[in-house]
Amino acid sequence: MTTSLRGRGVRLAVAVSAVSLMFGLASCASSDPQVPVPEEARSALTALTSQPVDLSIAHTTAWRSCMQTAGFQVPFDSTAGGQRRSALIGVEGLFASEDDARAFGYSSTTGEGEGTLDRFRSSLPPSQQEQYDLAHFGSGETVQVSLPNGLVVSRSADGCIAEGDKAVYGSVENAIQVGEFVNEVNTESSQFLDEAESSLREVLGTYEDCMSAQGVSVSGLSAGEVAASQFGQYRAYDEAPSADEQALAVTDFSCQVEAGFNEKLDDVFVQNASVWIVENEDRIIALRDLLDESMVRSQQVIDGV
Amino acid sequence: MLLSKGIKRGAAALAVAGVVAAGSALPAQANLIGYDNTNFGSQLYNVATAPYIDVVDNRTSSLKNQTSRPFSARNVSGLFSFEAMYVNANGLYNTLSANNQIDHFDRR
Repeated sequence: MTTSLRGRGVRLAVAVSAVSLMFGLASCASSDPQVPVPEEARSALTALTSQPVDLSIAHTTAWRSCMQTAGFQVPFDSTAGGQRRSALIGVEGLFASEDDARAFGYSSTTGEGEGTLDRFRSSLPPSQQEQYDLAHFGSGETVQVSLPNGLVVSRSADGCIAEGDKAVYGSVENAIQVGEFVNEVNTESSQFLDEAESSLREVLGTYEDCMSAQGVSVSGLSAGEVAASQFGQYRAYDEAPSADEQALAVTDFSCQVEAGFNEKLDDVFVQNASVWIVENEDRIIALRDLLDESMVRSQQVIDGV
Repeated sequence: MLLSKGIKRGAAALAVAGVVAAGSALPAQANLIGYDNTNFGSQLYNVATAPYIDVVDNRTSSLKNQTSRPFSARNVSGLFSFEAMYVNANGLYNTLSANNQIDHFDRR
């Protein structure tokens, strides 16, 4: 393994040098030299960072079954996974899809009220809350993983959260490896936020004009503020938005598409992190394979197989 | 088996520390809790159900998300608010390393 990695490093260094020569001084002005990024790696990055909803629904299903076995008839929270991420570089205010816009709306309209699961736990007497926490979190033992970006992450080694992890990902360790990869991408992104901002500014006028044409006045990605102003904080975080809020969010999403924000962000990431992507290509593909296996398991859990 | 495959094929190191003894992780309640130091030392904030959580900038060095929902930890840069870190539900982040650029959180 060491030999093949060393060989890969040499090939990468040659590729970087060649491209640096081609671009000359221009490459010095860029934050990273450019190397070609295989399409498979790019699509794997998107799959690994988008937080597919099937994973969270299956995890919730397995977790709920475990909690019920422990004696707690918990309700089902279909929104537990939250919104999907919209692009390789995460930016507040952007939706991944029209469905997400309609389903989640704006967090600015949610208040501090408890969600469905919080209310269920709160409704229990204190002694049962302790039992609930024990069933949910387990004994306190954790599985800990150190990631290449310096992040050290732990998750419960037992209890129903761990049962959910095992049902979906095969193991708690795999759940951390797949679930936290997005933060390796975030670590890379943090090195070129100026480029991301410049790229978004290029199309911000298109977005604002589009929103204005729909009767919504915004300055930047401020539709969430418009929503809070128009609708107030009227719902718990796991309650669906009203029809009016959904309509605003769908309009917002359509203007985001017209401006091309998410594509811009993906391009900035691939352009600036190309060396990192190619260096980590094998690992990215391996994690994508792990994600694919998890998606198959998720479907089996959801189908009750 | 798949993880072994990942390590075998992977270019970057995956240091897996394994199972850690009980005591440090068992929560008292389902909150988002941030700490000034790594390994959960010197608590900075402890929030239950707020959808938007403003915290002292660039100080979070470790973090416990004991809620059942993920959060996006944001870093405000110019006109936009970028994701510094995706905080998975029920995750314990002993060391944030380069990700300690958190200015606020949004519940996903």
